[in-house]
Amino acid sequence: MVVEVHLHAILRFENNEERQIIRIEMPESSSIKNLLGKLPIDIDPEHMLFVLNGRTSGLDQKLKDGDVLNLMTALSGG
Amino acid sequence: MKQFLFFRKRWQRWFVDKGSKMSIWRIDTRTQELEISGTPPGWEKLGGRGLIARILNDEVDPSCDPLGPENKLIFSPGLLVGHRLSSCDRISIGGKSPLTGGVKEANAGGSTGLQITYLGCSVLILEDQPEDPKLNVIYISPTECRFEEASHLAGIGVYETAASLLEQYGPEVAIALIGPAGEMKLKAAGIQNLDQDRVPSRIAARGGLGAVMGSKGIKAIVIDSSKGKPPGIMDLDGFRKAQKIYNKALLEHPQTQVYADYGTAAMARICHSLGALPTRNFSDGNFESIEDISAETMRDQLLERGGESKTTHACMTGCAIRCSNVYADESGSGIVSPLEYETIGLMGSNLGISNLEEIARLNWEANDLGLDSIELGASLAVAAEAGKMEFGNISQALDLINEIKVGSPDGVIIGNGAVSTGKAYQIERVPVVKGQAMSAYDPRAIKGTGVTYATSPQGADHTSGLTIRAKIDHLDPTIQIEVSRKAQINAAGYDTLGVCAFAGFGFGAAPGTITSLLNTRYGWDEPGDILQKLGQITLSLERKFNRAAGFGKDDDRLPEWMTKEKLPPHNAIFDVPDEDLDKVFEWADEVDQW
Repeated sequence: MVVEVHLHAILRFENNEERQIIRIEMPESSSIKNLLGKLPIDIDPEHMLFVLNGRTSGLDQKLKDGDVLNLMTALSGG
Repeated sequence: MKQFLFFRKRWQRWFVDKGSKMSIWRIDTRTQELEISGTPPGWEKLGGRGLIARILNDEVDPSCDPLGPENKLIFSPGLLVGHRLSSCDRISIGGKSPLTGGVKEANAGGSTGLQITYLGCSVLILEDQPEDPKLNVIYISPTECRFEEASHLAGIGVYETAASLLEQYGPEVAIALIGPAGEMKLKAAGIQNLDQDRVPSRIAARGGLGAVMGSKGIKAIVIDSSKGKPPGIMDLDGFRKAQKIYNKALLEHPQTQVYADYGTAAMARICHSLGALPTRNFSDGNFESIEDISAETMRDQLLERGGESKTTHACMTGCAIRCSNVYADESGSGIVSPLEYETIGLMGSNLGISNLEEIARLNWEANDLGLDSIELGASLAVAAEAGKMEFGNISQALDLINEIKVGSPDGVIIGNGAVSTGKAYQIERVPVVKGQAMSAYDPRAIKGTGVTYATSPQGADHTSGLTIRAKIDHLDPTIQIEVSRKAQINAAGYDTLGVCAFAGFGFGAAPGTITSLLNTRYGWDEPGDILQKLGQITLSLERKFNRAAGFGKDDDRLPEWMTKEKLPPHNAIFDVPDEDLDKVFEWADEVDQW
């Protein structure tokens, strides 16, 4: 299955290819945690928000084909 | 220069006792007299927002006319203000709100808080009201307080007024000032303060406090602390030790880097991705042009444009976070500083405007008039729904702002806020609680923040307890009460300390430093988590004032249409039960005061 990962703000810098959207092929039943290991950047889950198809999700959330995962540093306000 | 001659015509002067002990300063705006006194019992361990709530309970009739002589305008630096601790020099300004009719505190960065403490003043209270409608500027220093007639500044915008006052009083003063909106006593008027570059853009925006200042005939307060000194610290070594731990935690936190590089605008994509970005008068949680108004686009633009552009900028001296910015046009000429997320949300997507430069120009106009860009953005969107402008049409939005400037009936309606606009144009979809417009988080998609909007004594306000950072399902109505309660107590605590919300993650990563800083600064021996205690006391006092002003359970609700009208893309409604909302503050009447 393929999951689309959107990188926001400073995560753009850390991804050397400057791509904001990465498509990643994952085995069926993979979780967000499994996916993090396949990313080209290091992610500290403690300070990150995982927004899967518009909902904040936990690391153990299972993924399915076509999912869109937004990865963003959690912020305290605007 | 001619206009400055007017200042000399009528002034009075009082010499005040120099002393290192912090005092309460009261200025009677009718008699133009300053009175300095010691700290009354119960006030000693409060500052900022908490002290405002205490003073309102002790001294202001909750049923008074907010624009009448009984109301007071309170400038209250937080408990940690005065020491150039990173992000900890905020000024809280408060009184009874003309917008909500209840308790009001709005805070801002800049230099006002710091310089007030350098006077030896722990809180500055403007009282009464002159019979003479002429405008005045108040000049205060450690040895002097005088009124100077300022009728030549009547109707003059905030930017020109600040430049004129800086020329007259020198570049080192702090200034708190209002624009034409405050003079007109419009309920969306705020009070602006100089940032560290002397730009008057740090606005204590919410709740119409600019109108209270206008009602007292005060265009500006000039604070000259050049002969003052920082407040004393009882245990300097202990204080510096705690400061070091806090600084390290703040600098190492990942949020610090995001705010420095992208500013608060980074919230735009987060809110959009959660389906909570206010769009066209809160009718959608997604904006089709999100990329055009994102922080990522803004940063790319500013780096490319150069000139006066700044992607990072500090509003207060010594701030390590530097979340502010300077937004410049294509030639590199600055338009406005800062351009923040709330304005991008309320004056951008909420107006259907998808161009950052246009949003920046609207922001400048709001600032120059001295208006809260959140309330104004909400009002304009309600006006757009009524057909007074087309969503997305910048020139029509600017025309409506010009109506405010000239004081036309439409302008007064819009300048008095979203409720006023909705009533006049018969629009029911008005996003307010307790008369105050919501910030840029739709409460149907971030329901914990909806709980905060509903129950905060301040009215709808994200700074009273934003929950978007919580790792929870924001659409689940059953888990929001506790999250909002905690966020509200923390926010009230930080506002009482004078601490920026973004410094909170530094303090959060360095447990115990707040208690250490306060105990070493004041010589207290307070145990445990003082932040929680300050927050609880503050909220308890605020609710007490509101109750006496006539607020009840029915006021702790979102507008009914938000409980029925589905918000795309999640088709969410606000469905946190009323009985749960009533539990948020069930503890508040039992709080022990200092």
